[in-house]
Amino acid sequence: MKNKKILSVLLAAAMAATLIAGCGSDGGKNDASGDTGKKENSNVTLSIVGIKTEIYDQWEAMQEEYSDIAGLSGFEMQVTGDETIYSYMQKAYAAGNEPVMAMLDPTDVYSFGEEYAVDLSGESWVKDTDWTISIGDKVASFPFCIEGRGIIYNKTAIEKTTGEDFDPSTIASLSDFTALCDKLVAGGMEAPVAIAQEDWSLGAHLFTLAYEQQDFTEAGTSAFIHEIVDGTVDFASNERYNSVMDTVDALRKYNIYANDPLSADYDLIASYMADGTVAFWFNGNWAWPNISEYVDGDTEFGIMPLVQNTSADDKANKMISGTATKQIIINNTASEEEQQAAKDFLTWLATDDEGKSFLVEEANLVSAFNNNTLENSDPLSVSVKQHVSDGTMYPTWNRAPGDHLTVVGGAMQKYLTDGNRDALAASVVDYWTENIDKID
Amino acid sequence: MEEKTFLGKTKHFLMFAGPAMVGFIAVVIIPFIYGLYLTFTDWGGIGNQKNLVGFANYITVFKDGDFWKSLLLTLGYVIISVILINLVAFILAYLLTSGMKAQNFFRAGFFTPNLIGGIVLGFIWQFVFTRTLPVIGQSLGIPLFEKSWLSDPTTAFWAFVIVTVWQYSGYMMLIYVAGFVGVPKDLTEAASIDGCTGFQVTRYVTIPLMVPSFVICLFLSLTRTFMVYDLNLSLTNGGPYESTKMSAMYVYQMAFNSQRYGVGQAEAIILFIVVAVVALTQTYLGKRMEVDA
Repeated sequence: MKNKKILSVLLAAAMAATLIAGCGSDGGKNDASGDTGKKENSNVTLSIVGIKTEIYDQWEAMQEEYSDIAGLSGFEMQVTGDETIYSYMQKAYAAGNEPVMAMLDPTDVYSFGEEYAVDLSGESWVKDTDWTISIGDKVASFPFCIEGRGIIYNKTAIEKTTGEDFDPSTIASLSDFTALCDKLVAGGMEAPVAIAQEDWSLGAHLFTLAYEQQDFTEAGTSAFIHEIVDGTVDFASNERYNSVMDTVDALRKYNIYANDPLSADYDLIASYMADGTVAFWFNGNWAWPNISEYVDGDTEFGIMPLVQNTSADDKANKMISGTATKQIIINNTASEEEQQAAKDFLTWLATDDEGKSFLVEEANLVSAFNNNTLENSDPLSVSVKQHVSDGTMYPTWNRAPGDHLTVVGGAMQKYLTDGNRDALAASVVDYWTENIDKID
Repeated sequence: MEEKTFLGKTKHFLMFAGPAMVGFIAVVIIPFIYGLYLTFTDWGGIGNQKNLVGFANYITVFKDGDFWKSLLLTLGYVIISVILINLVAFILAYLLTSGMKAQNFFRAGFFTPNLIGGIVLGFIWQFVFTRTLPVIGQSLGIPLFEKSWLSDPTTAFWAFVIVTVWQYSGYMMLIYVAGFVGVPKDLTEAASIDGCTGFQVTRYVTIPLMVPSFVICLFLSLTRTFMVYDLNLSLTNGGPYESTKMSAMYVYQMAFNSQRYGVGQAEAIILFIVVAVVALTQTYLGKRMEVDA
């Protein structure tokens, strides 16, 4: 009896240990596709992880085609499943089964690039793009596509409701914007705006404008963050912060979810945008696959800047924020042949007609290369591309650590419900005070 | 006899328990010890650079107010959920062993939520709380349901509790059903003949004989609610504004999003100790209350 008790207590302890080990240290992630066995026929197998979910099908078709073109013995796409690309790569590096290439967000390129990225500065395509990420003196990544963010508008719905032509360039300040919203409300569109409640949208996309638009450069943004931490700048009374939040307040006022902002549903908003229930949504061109699902017939869309109550020559009222949001790195842990094959593949993507066509016409992305002049077919990408060629896109600041969006996104969710600007500023400054060592 | 010698015993033990032991050591013990080692390093999660930093991570943890807040929140959630889960499960089991009609159908029905994974379950309930209930509330004018429950910290917490109870009480019910069925008929009959009322039979005969069921159910519900992550992720994702972020999610985000692996791991160890102490104390106390028929 005594033994039985001891045994049961031990078993209980063992089970508790199982549970915690599962949480803490993630013992054995078994990667079914980890076998990148090389065939003897001097061919190599390429592998990549982190493909944008929107283009899985197109990518799979393309990689099969490319395998034939380049005589590869195989090309495989790994998926991260329900974890972030960051933790996937972390485990893959620890286990030594990382794929040859990885498609990362810019912030992850900075995390992994220094140690693991192959230097691409010798590649022929480098001169054709402004969007590579350099770490030290090496070119660490290949810019896969450009994405821009701003206020998405449904031109057709606006014109139908107001009965007037709509030209986004006439909306040059917040007062223009609210005047238009009032007109839309008068015309029968009860709430012309939608705000998503996702933390990445609020924290990483909307709020970050308050840093980026200090001087519209990446270096300037980093410097500004240092200043709010060391107290040189009082963030709560900062002019740009307040003018961005003024616009956020206007969005809140006309928000279709004004009564209960955190019940916003991403897919529903996409359908509201498509059918003209709302006319404006702060988001980016990646939202097109969601919106297009619900679009009927000819509806015109575009992206315009988040206009503010500042002078007419303020860049914020003319420019949208954008960057090459997906970057491919080649792992220096891959064999020489694999690295070369991966470089050839990237060159093909950037310079070959088929590669260019895949990116723009099949995957419907905005190319980061000047020599790729193909036309996109989706209206939001066309709009982003237009901003790029007009020079009305400034580079997104993408150095925020991984938890910035959860913390600041959370604070923004709170702001949507209570509108307390000082509390928001305080939590932002707190966050940066703790994490200032993570940015340059 | 062969079994009497030490070697013989070892051989027998390994024959039966060996394969499981190897698996257990490989996927639990070794990662656990390695994880313990990582708490003494400044490893950020990438690369091979690991410097020993002594107890610095633990000091950081003790200064990390948000972690203790999330632990306290988790504790509140665990207490409420465990009580409700077991209460509901016990009542269901009582009803479903009292010989009512179609009780097997109901048993299967109440057990079903447990067959749905936590992630899927979270999304289903998210839909219910953000879309279905507000529509019903607005059209019928019930103020309680007019807003999404997931957009306010208090209601989001209770929504989380409700889904947890819904998920686990069916499973615990089965264990209680087994407990009820396992009580020998002759004992309850004897008690009735001696003049016990139905309530007295349950209180003084059935429940004491069911203590093992209580011990198991409490243990399972305690550990599962303490370690909740999947439901937390898909139902509220820690929101609204990080007000429902339970410890496991906090630890995960510390290690992977904030990229402070050592600190996250140290927090996981502390969480482990808390859970182990609570679960073992409960098991020990429960075992003492067991009686033999």
